[in-house]
Amino acid sequence: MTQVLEVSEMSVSFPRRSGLLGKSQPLRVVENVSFEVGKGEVVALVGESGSGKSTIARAVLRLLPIDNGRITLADVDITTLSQRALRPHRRNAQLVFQDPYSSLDPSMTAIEIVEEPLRGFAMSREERLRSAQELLASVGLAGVEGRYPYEFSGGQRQRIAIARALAPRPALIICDEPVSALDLSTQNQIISLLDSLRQSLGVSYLFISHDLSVVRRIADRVLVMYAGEIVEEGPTERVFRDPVHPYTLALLSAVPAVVGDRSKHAKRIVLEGDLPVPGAPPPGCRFHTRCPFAMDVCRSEVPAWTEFDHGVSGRCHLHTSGSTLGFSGLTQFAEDAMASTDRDRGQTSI
Amino acid sequence: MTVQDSATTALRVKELCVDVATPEGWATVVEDVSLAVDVGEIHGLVGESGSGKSLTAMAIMGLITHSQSARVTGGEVLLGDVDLLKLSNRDLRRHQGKDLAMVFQEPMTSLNPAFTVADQIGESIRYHLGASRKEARERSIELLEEVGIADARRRCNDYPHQFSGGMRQRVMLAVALACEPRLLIADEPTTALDVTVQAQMLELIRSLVERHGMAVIFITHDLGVIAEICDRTTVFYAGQVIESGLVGEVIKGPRHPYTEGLLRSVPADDDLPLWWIDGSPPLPGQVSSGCRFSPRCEYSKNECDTHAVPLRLSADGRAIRCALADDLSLNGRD
Repeated sequence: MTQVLEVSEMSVSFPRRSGLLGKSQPLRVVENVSFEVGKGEVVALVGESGSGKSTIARAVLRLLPIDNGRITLADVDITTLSQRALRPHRRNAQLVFQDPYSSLDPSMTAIEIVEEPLRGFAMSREERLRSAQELLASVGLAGVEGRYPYEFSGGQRQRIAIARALAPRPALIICDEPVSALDLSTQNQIISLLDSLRQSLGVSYLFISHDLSVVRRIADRVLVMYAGEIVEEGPTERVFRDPVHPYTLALLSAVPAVVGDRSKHAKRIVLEGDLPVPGAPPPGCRFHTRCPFAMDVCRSEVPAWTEFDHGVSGRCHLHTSGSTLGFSGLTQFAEDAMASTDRDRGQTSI
Repeated sequence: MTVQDSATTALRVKELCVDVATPEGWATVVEDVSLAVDVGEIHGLVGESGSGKSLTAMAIMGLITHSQSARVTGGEVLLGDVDLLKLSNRDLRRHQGKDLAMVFQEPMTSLNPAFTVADQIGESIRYHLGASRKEARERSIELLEEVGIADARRRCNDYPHQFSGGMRQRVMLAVALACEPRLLIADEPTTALDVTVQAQMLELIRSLVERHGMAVIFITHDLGVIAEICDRTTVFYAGQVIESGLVGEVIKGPRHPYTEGLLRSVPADDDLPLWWIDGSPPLPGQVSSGCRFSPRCEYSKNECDTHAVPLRLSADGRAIRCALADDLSLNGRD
């Protein structure tokens, strides 16, 4: 087994009824996404709220119905399995949620929370408790098994949630914004913990985050989502250094940097407007309404998925439709455009 | 943009103390906090959850003066010559929403879902300035245009649920700006937003400050945001101010070990290992008599645990609460 999770051409819709007696018009929120997560690999899913990240997470766990596509989890095609047939495979994919305050049962002690997922296994109570104790120790919480969630800080609660996710020995853990509710110093501890668990246990993560500085620290590969589509994919460092898609460039430039000297602030692309309304993406490239580089072809034709020499793939006409602007020129182009508009601030709206 | 040369102080907070109710009784969670914010200045308050930043802001706004679960036990909040803490509820209301305005973190919950945005922006204009319904509506439209809502004349009749998160935060700003406040408090206004929308908001707040010349207290736990938008910053730890100064100077040359730790926790572009400050802040009511950061401080000496450390002002306008500050050489970020 090399791929822990394979998703191919998956689309997800939400039902929507317009008006009192109106027809049901499904709202397509994830369109034709394909990706895979290898064994021991960390794949990050980044994008704005509403881009479809969490929907993908829920869909691959079969918590949401999908329109089409195929989901293979640990070499088993789970796309069409009945909920009953799916049960033995569920242990292979676990979830860690964003908010450690609402994702733990307040009436259970730490060890009960971690022991609970083991109840379906052929283990005695003693074995389960011993296993839960070891799991808590592995996340740095030894000796506090009998405490209730309210006695723990946010970071410690997230550690309990991680121990619970690890309990059934999953091949894949889906982390949905696992550190965004935590203070910076605590974030770093949790990321470091996730990384060491990956190395010691060989578990894979599908890591959902909107925080690119976090993603950079943990992910091997990045998938960038925009309006329900994957618009760019590649090894983390390469995507950060040489993004193919202008949206990725904008996301990267929007992260506020800690610099003492304001003149050193990175050139910034401030995107105007919001994500397109779900279910009604603009024609052509979905990003063209906010793209500083949009050309005529972008408004009418959907850009094709293209693989580039430096191992990054994406869909953008800038690189494929005879434009002289290659991916290496993208960053430069943006910098030049901004330098000429507002020198002293190093910022502009384009 | 730096602090204005002809600096006039808009707000001065002196030795503010706030207690909150705990099962064990009242515990001091904001202790001897002093701040000064000039006209046209954006002053950033930074610190971990529970460090007292938001309670300080609430006390300044007069939102906890008469509360059951928290109380102001000392200090002054001077807006011009008026000590807001000494005002009656009735007198305080003449300032709230007029001279003092606040933007909260959650744009989803801080607008009333049952009223149109024009009603909510116009409310304080009618209350404080005695404007007619029609005048208030016209002014609301102007304000919506100013905060960058397209097609404001039509959109002003919409309800909050018809706006996205970033747009709602713009509407919140319009509500706050309605009566041209002298002080705007923004409590984590961009934390719930996407980075792209955050970038739009920071840009907007800065341009509004330049245009209106108000004083701003900007609360955040993100040092990147501080570096980007603030002129001066005050760092909180366990209810105390532990360092304050011009943003560039604090970031380049922190003089308190906690500030250094915070700066080191920010991921850099290089491949340095992730850094964090071990341990957690003390709980309210369980602070030691010495330096509160000492148990987590790598430079700590015996004397740190025994003597309370005063906040010392240095000649260059920095304030530091560290007994060892003169002997330490700490690293910042360029």
